[in-house]
This record gives sequence, C-alpha cells and structure tokens, in this order.
Amino acid sequence: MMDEKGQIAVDFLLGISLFLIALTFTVQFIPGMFMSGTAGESSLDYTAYRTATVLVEDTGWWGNSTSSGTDWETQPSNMMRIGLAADDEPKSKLTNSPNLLSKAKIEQFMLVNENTLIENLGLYNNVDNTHFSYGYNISINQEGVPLVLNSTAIMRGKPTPLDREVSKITRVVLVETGTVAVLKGSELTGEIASEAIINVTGPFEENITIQIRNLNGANHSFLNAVVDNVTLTPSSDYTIYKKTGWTDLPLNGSLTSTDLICLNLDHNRFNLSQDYKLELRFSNVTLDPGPPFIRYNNHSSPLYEPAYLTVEVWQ
Amino acid sequence: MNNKAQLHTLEGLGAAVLMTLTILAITQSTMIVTPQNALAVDVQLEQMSSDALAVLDIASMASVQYNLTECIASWDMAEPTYPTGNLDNLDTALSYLLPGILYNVDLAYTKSGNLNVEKVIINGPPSTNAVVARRYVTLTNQTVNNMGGGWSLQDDELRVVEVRMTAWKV
Repeated sequence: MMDEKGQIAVDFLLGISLFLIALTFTVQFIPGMFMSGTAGESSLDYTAYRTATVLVEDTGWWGNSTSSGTDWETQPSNMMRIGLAADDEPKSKLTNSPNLLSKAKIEQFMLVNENTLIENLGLYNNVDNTHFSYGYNISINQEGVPLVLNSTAIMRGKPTPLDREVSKITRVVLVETGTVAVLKGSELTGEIASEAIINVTGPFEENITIQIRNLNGANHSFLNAVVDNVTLTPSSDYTIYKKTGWTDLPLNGSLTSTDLICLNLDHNRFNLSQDYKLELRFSNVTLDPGPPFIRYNNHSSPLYEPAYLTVEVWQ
Repeated sequence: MNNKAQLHTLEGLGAAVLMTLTILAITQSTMIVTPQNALAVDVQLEQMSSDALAVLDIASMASVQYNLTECIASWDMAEPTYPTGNLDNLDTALSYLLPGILYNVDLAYTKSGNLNVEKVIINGPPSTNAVVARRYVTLTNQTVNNMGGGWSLQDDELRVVEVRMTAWKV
C-alpha cells in the first residue's frame, strides 16, 4: 500500500537510535573522557605538579615597555613570571638549565608579595570567577631540614595540616649555596714551599669553599689555615673534608693525590670590603714559589649542592 | 520512481559527515586524560628518577666527586653478579639522591652495529609499579682513560650510551 506521509520516520528512528546507543556506549566505557579536570582532589595534584615544574624548570621573566629578560629578581616590580632556574644570559630566551636553582632568585622568591605569588603560580581554585586560594607550602630541604640562604630558611606558606588531604610533589634540584674555587695542586703558589697563599677579596654573604684536587706529595697532610696572620680555629672558622660522591667525609691523617680536599671557610672571617691573605699550611708538600698568588675571586664559581624542592598544596 | 522513504546518495553523505563532525567535536573538546590517584605516585617516582639522573649529569666537579659521564666512563665492562653492582660511584651518588627508592641501572649502546644492553647495578627484581628514566651520555677516550674504565675507544671515537634506570618504591 502506498502512503505518502511520514515515511522517513522508521529509518530515521533506527538510525538515530543506533547512533545514540553508540555514543552512550562510548561515553560510558571510555574512562576519563568526560571527567572534569577541575573537580575533586585531582586538581590539587595538577597544581602541585605544575607549581614544582614552573619553579624548577623556568627561569622566570620580567618586562616593561622598553626591555625584558629572565633576571626578574633584579626587577621585582616588573615581574611577569616566577621561576627559580639559573640563567647566565638573562637577555636571551634560549638558555635552559632545569634543576639548577639560582640563589638570587630564591632570595627574591622569599620576598615576593603573598597575593602576587598566589596569582603568579596559580595557587587558587577558580569558581565562577572568584578565586579561592589553596593552602600551600613550598620549601627547599637539605638532609631533612630547610635550606638556609642569607640567614633565611627557604620555606613559604603555612605548615602542612594533618587533617586534610595534601598533594605533594618533590623534585631533586641543585641549589646555589655559595661560591667555590676549584684549584689544582699545581696552580697553588706560596712564599714557603709548603704554604699556599690565596688572596681573597671580601665581603661574602655565604661561606666560601676552596676545593683542591691533585695535590701531590708523599705522606702529606693539612696542618692549619691562617688569615692575615691569625690562625683559624677548626670547626668554628673552617671545616676541612674530602668529597666522596655527594657527601663530605672528615679528613683524617695523610692525604693522597686523588683526594678532593674541600675547605669551607666561615664568611664572617671575610666580612669587610678588603683584601685578605689566606695561608693554607701543609706538610710534605712542595708548591711552586710565588708571587703571583692565586686570587680566590678570579677562580670562584657558584657552588651547587643537591637539595629537594617540595611543593604541598591543599584546599 | 520509487516513492518509499530513502536517503539519496548526497543526503547520506551529508548525514555521515555531520555525525562524524559531531563526534569529533565532542571528543576533541572534552578529552582530558585525568591521572587517577594511583598514577600520582608514578608521576612522583618518575619525576624523582629523571631528576636524579639530570642532577647527576649537570653537576659540576665542585658539587659531586664524579658526574654521570665520569661514572659511566669508569665502568670496567664486566657483568656484575647480584647483589653487588660494579659501578660503585654511580650507586653511591644515586642512593644519596633517591632515599627509599630502589633501582637497577642498565647501559645500552651500539658497538659495531649491534645493540648491547648491559646490567651495571642490580638491586633485585623491580616491583609492578616500577618506572624507567633515561639519560644519554657521550664518552670519549680521554674521559674513559681519566676514569680508568674499560671501554677501549679509539682516540677519535665517540660513544653515546643510554643510561637506563628502572626505579621502584619499597
């Protein structure tokens, strides 16, 4: 029988039902497809991960109408991005040194205004264009305790609450903690063969480290250190140790030529803007005669030490 | 002429395109890979492992006794027997950076056209949630000689070695 009306309905119904069934099936059985990224605890995981990554891998950025660069720590009022990664060429966008954190940037990070920090690092939840700040705790730890730079413990935010779920991300980083001069035994000179003279120009904010490698001698050892004819007291004025792996082992008895000798000197000994004469006395060591003597400041470079950057975020 | 309900070819094509576009639009706009809670642990472990290799690689001689390249260069090319690895300076450096994490380290490199994968640090069988971090180092004969390793390279030869670390939580 011929009917001219409503003919399409059956085919269309079949087609659209099939399509809807297929779509429902897809939505139901692919997990995460329609799960929102901003709901629930998981957004805290994102925030912690993102914050840690930005701090560790980004150098930060500042800019105004005429100039810009990655050295935002010198231009805090024009700061656009916070990042702690060290950068030798602040004018270029190309340098990339993740996991190496600059001391100046960390110190400026500690001074950044609280609201600016929360806005800049996105430590908030956006509900209907109203910002609800997350609780956070950002710290740099070395051997379980917060790192101290320029007599400030590097920790921002509130203490971690015990009654709430906290998202935490830890990154392994190298932090600039001071300066070091890496010297070879053959570079050292002195007025007496067993006494190395190093000129040091102050002042210093952090302790200074002198590292000596390949110091040759027979059954040789370190005796003492003298600054401007005043003999320094071990452990309060300086510590001497040898580096094994990342760790520092006490230096006992005689040295071998493969030892990495490290001398960590208290910065209070060099706190004036003047030249200091540092003498390192050894026994059974024959150094080249001087002058010229080594100048610490010409050989010094940033000293990076391993540490953990931890970001904790909660609602 | 058939008067029964039917889709003509072009209309059919049009309908098919419409449906496909709809599905594409939906899937593209809201497809978010949400890490489940179990994944967050993996992310942390993976991050720590690759950080540890990166930090050891970029460390200068003032920070660490031997960096990653020097550690690898010092390898004597001998297969270790469990439980003792035979790359102690690498083991010391990694265990300092990764407390509470166990790891195995393999080295992968090509030599005369063959891919070699050698175990250098063995800490046991990895658990099911283990992750792998990789880092490449380039060895020259000079580095190898300085470190007393057994790679026996030519003076003008460069060898790229993949350091493969399988890490897991205990």
